[in-house]
Parts: sequence; C-alpha cells; structure tokens
Amino acid sequence: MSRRILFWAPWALACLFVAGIVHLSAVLMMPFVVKSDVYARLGGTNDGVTLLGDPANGKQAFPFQDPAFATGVCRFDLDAGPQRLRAAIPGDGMLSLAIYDRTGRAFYSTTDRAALRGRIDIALVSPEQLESLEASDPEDATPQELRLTPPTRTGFVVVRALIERPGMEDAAQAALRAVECRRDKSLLR
Amino acid sequence: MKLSQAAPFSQPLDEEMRTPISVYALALATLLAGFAIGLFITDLTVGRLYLFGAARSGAWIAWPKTGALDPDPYARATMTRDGIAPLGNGEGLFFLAQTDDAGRALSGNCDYMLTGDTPAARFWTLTVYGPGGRLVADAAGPTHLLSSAVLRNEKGQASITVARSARAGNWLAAPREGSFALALTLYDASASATPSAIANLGMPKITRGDCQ
Repeated sequence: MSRRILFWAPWALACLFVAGIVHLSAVLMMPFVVKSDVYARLGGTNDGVTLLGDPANGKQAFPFQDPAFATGVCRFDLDAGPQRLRAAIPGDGMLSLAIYDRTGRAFYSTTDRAALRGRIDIALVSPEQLESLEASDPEDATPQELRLTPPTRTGFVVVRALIERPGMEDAAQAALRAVECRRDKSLLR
Repeated sequence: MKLSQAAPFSQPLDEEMRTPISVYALALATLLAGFAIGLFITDLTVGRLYLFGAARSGAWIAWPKTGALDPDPYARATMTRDGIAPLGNGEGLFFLAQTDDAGRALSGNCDYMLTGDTPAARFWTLTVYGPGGRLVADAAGPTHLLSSAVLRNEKGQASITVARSARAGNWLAAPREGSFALALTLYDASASATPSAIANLGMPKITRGDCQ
C-alpha cells in the first residue's frame, strides 16, 4: 500500500505543478490573447462618439451596463496622433467618462462635476508627444487641457449621459454626440 | 557473424528500454491531466464575477479595484472574457447584491423589500440584472430606478419592493424565474473607493418577504 503511494505521489505532485502553471499562465495571458475582449466588442472609431446599443430595447453593449444612461464609445490610437476629448457640461444632466487602456483597465475617469472651468478637456498623448508638447508650451501659461499618457498606445473611452426621465433618451444621446473625441494634430505644434 | 555477436547484448538492452516507455506514458498522462486540471480551475475562477478585492457592506459587494488601473489578474481575466467595461472610480461606485441580508440567493419566486438610507451621492440607480449581468428582458415592469424618481413618505424615507408582479409605491420587476442580482450604483459618490470606506457605508437592507 505505502509502496503504491510512494510510486504515485511524485506523479500527482507533478500533475498539480503542471496544473498550477497552466492555470496561472492562462489567467495572466487572458487580457492579451482573447480576441473578443471589451475593446473589440465595443467597437467605435477615433473620430467621434459611437452610440452603444439601447439597453431599454434589449440591446446591451456589455454586462452590467446601466440602462439609466445613454452610452457611447470612441477609440484612440496614439500612433495616429494625440487624441482630444472635449465635452461641454450639459444643463442639468450628467455626463461621465472613463478612459480604458487596450486591455480594459480604467486608468482615468471623471464626471462633469469634477470638470475644471465648466469643460472636460483632455489630451491623450504618448510620452514622446507629451515631450514635444511641453517643449512648445509658452513659458508662463498653464495648458488648457488635462494631459494624460495612457499605459497603452491604443484604447477606448466610454462616455455616459444620464437619461433624466423616461422619454428623454434623445436628449442624452444628443449630449453624447456633442462630445468631441478626435485626433488633434494641432497639439503637435 | 556480427549479428550473432550482437545478439547477447540485445536482451538486457530491451528490458531496460521497457521501463522508460511506461515512464514516458506516465509523464505524458501527467502533462495532459495537469493541463486539463489547470484549464478547469481557470474556468472555475474566471467568470464567476470577481474572486478577490471585494469590499462588503451588508449584502452589497463592491470591487473598488476594477474601476482603476490596478485590478488583480483574476478580475482582469474576467473583465476580458466577459467584455465588461467597469465603471471608473471617478464616475461612481458600483455595488452588487446577489443575496438578501440573511445570505439567501435572490430569487424571482420571492418578494424583497429594500429599506434604509443610501450613501451620499449626486444620485443613484438601482437595476435588476439576470445571470451574467444581462438586463432582464421578460420582466412585467420597470427593471431600473433612478433616485430622483423614488417616492418618499412624509419623513423622507423610501422603501422599494422588488417582486414579479406590480406593487404600489416604488416597484422594480423581478425576473419571472431564476436567480437575479441587484446593482446599486452611486454616481459622484462622496465616499472614496477604498474597502474601509465602503465597509462603513450604510447601504439599504434587503429583506425577503413572501415566496411562492
């Protein structure tokens, strides 16, 4: 009996060892190998906000999407140039946005309430673009926009506008369409 | 002649060869079994929502790290596999309840009453989700509620009923069958997204009523 255990124990241990390695590498690799990740599923372009489904009519863009909001997405690709994100603050609605890296980590998020000078104005720049931007900054002026360097060169932005009352979906969608999200070569002076 | 000379040596060699073959077979079986078990554990731990980093307040669970740059590897894998765009911590705090306060899974067969205050926030939404965070399509009424639409009594208190069929007052429709989850999202919450701050938040109580 004990001889049988002695024979199988190393194999069982080796099996668990392999299982552990396979499990850990599968978990760690998943954000980088899964093709249908959140970036791919949401779509969008780097020129303007694309509206995402209509959860009230059963078109849900991602799990746990809040149906009280109209949701839109836009992408950025810093290799094509810096991306500018601008939104005026709607009257009494609410607008919020989260910026995600290529693997879906929300590295920056804010709402209209946290916005400075009544505007959301964000420039997504790569470290090199930031450098050339800072080199051309006037000496004594603070930049208008908030400059962020995303962890990855591509990624996406999810913008949410509150539907204040049933029937006000159009107003929320209009607020989303008014959000400016585009490449901004003027940042590379 | 040369062959017959070689013959005496072939016998012991052959016997020595027999053991390695079974060892190779065992090693291969070990590898395959390890692979299968490893993938099985991955499937168990990824996709049952988030395994780690939960902050609890009553029946409500928040995962403050999913809305920032540092989700743990399991949360990252889950978000990737299920295509979840988590709410950013700068936007608000997302809470999910899959059980009532007594720890029983929320079921479409029962009525539930939500009472008590919600934490300070600009506003909140309460939403009924089916399995996997899907919105309920076949419910008999509204499945989400905005704080500004909540009816309150003279003392300013509100209670919300979650049930399959229509109720007076604040009512959210539960799915006709099966388990469900409730999400309470605080937008522009004054509490910060840290486990200790979340644990001290007074979240609504979820009490089970009648069951069919």
